Amino acid sequence: MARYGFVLWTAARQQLAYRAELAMRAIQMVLFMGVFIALWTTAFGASGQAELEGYRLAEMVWYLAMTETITLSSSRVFIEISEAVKAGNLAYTLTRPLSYPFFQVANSLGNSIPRFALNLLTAVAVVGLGMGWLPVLSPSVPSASLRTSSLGMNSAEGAGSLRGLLAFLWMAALALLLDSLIAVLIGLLAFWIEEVTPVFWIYQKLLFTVGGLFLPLEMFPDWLRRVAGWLPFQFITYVPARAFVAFEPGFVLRAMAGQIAYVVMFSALVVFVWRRAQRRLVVHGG
Amino acid sequence: MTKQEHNEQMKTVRLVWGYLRHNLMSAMAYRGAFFLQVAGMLLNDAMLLFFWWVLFNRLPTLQGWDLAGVMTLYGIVAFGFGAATVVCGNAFLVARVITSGDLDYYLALPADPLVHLLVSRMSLPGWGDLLFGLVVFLVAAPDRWVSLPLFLLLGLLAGVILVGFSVLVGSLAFWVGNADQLAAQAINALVTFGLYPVEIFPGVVRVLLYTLIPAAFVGSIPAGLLSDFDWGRLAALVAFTAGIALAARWVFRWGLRRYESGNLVMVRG
Amino acid sequence: MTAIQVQQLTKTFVTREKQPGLRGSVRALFRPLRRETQAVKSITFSVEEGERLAFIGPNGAGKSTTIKMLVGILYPTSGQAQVLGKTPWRERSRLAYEIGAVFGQKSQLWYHLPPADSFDLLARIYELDRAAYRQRLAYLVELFEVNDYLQVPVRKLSLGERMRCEIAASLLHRPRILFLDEPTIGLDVVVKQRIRDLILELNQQEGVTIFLTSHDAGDVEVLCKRAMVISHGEVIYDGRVSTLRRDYIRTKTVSLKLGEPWQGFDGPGVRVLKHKGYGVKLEVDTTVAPIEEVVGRLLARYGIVDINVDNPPMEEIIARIYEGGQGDKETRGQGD
Repeated sequence: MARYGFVLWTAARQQLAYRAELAMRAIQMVLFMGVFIALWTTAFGASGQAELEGYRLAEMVWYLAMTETITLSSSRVFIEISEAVKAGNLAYTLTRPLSYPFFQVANSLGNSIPRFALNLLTAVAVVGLGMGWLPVLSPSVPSASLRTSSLGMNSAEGAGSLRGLLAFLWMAALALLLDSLIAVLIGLLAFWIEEVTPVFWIYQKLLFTVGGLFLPLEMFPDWLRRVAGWLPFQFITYVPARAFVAFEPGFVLRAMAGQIAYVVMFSALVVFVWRRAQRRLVVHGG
Repeated sequence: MTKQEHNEQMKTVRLVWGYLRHNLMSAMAYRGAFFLQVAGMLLNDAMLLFFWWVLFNRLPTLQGWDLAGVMTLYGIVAFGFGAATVVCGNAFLVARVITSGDLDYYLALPADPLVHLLVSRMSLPGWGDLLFGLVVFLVAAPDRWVSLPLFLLLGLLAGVILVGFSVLVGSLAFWVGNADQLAAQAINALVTFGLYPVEIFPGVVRVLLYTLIPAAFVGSIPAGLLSDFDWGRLAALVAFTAGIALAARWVFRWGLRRYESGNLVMVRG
Repeated sequence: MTAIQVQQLTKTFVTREKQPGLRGSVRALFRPLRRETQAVKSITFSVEEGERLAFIGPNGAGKSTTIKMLVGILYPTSGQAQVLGKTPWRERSRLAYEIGAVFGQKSQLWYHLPPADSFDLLARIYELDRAAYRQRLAYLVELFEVNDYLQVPVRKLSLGERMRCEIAASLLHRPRILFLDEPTIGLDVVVKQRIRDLILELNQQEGVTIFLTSHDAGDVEVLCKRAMVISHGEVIYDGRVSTLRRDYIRTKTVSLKLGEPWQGFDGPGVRVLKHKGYGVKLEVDTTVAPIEEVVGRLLARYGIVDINVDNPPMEEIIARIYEGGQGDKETRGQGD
């Protein structure tokens, strides 16, 4: 009996250590959000308007929280794959033509989704406490453009209808899938490139910039907005967050179509690259 | 200054210089990795810049700060941070050196233990911050070449504040067990808050940023001096910097005496 | 000249103990449980310059505490010490110029750089005159035969090559006392002997006082003339190594790997410690049966794949001393 108690106690202690790390990350998120809440509050105050490009203060903050949540849950599977390539452990996969990369996609998602859930809860807690209120789940906003009439910062409407939340969850799932595909692709580049980490960095920075991490695309200068609109990055960070903040069926449908299109495209790319990689494996032997 | 004090100072200067050379040589042994780290840091730093650029595209000013102003602020903090971590690469790890007992190694050698501890490591990405800060300033400042000396001075002062603060919170490890987590968070907070104009924060927080976590002295005040110079405020900044550096040295010495008595708190159970 | 003089040096640690759990934390706030641990109990000894002393004892016996006090990193609760005429904890920085230290487990050399660069840095730390340093370096490089490795990054050197560079590094500033902590740990027999020879040579040529801490009885036997055993904060033996050897190192362990199953071995002074399949471990009482004889007979009797003859572990020697020396706190060996 005592033995089981000990096992339980050890497991609980491990959870505690894990929680310390979570607390650290929560504090960092609090710091980050805190700074940006102050920033946006000042920006809105300075502009003298209640809305910036159609976003109210609360919506801007929620937007940031959601993009943060997705980014923090993003995949690092490229590390595992590039190490496996370097170590030469992939020879055995030649016997199974397609499964390795998609196995890794599944692996990556299996990792990202729980982290996403945790990050989401943390973000909601942080924003809820920081802004002093939580979005009340109200019926969807009529499908006009984002510039609906504002009711002031402390309005209970606006961000976060139930359908917005659901749309967000679906789109976040697609976003994480797309992100995983890209991460796998980066990992596979290890067959040709010595160090894939810089490639990942560039991808990550593109996500942060034209993907709309800090600012929604509406804030970009027009030419940048048009460029970003075509790139895959916005479908990972901007699109789900925007759906949450202002649910609009037209937007959601178009966005999801875009996400799916890119998922298909990158899946094809992964297959293509993997076939070339396998050929390289056979020629160079692991 | 007596001859002996002068000799002591020269000794310290030679030691710091020796370590700088040595650390740089060590970095050059892996040139590729070094440049990669610098490039990575440059890329990292560019993110906030992107944000400011887009934001100021939509807003002309923010509490009196324009794009050039925030870029100058950013330049000073990045340069200071880079200088701090390049020269005193162990600054953020003081608590860990104390708790791990590695401090003994420095104590057994003739040089001043605090200085030795700080300079024995060089942060390689820090060179990226250093370069970034300088470039950003040169791009943003209207009278760049004229102000350059002042910028360098202000950047170095910011670096000294960062190191001083880090030594202060790191020295808590002489008294408290889990100081190293606490120290890391405090330093993180200082750097994070330091990057933004202090005027964007509400009153209560602003008071904090002038006192306990002196982020205002790291970024906003020096940046303000570049756009609107005033001898009085410069003197105040220098005084503050000297003050925090002396306080750091004093607290560390105090803690060191406690360390040497061997009576650090030990927790069992 | 007396290199080290210690008089009634005592160190008591005061620790605040916290009982586990929440109740314990609360109690610790109001009524902390103070526990006094006497790490070093009023020890007295002196060491002459040029002596070679082994300072041995089990872990937790007060060895590192004593050394820390001698180096000046820790100050005592009471008592006095003079190292090269200075009180260590008061003049630590000045003393640091005259003492050297080698730690088997912690390196003074920079991992990614060649030893030459680390030597240069040390020259700077110790404020050595350029010309004198160059001469000294040349001498040490020749003595330790490390010329071929001077420009090779430390990470590429074998442990033996690294240790030779480490010891050379510790001697650059001509210390008068050298503290060595486990200098031959992890090295093979041939390299161990080489390092020991180098240290001996340096002692003979320059009169460096050697203060050795080691768990390796071989180090003690070869390098040192005098041994001090410390246990529970007290010096329980202070005398010649040869006496230590005679009185306490009476056994050797023989580990064998046979080509055939073990069938026992007859002989006085031979005791089987354990055997399993083709492996055997014997303890030989060398006062009864000389080791060469036993090994010879074993070789004649069995086909032997591998054989190892080891000294008994230091802990055992000390345990035996402690048992034997209960009444005898400090014994000086006969005839110096």
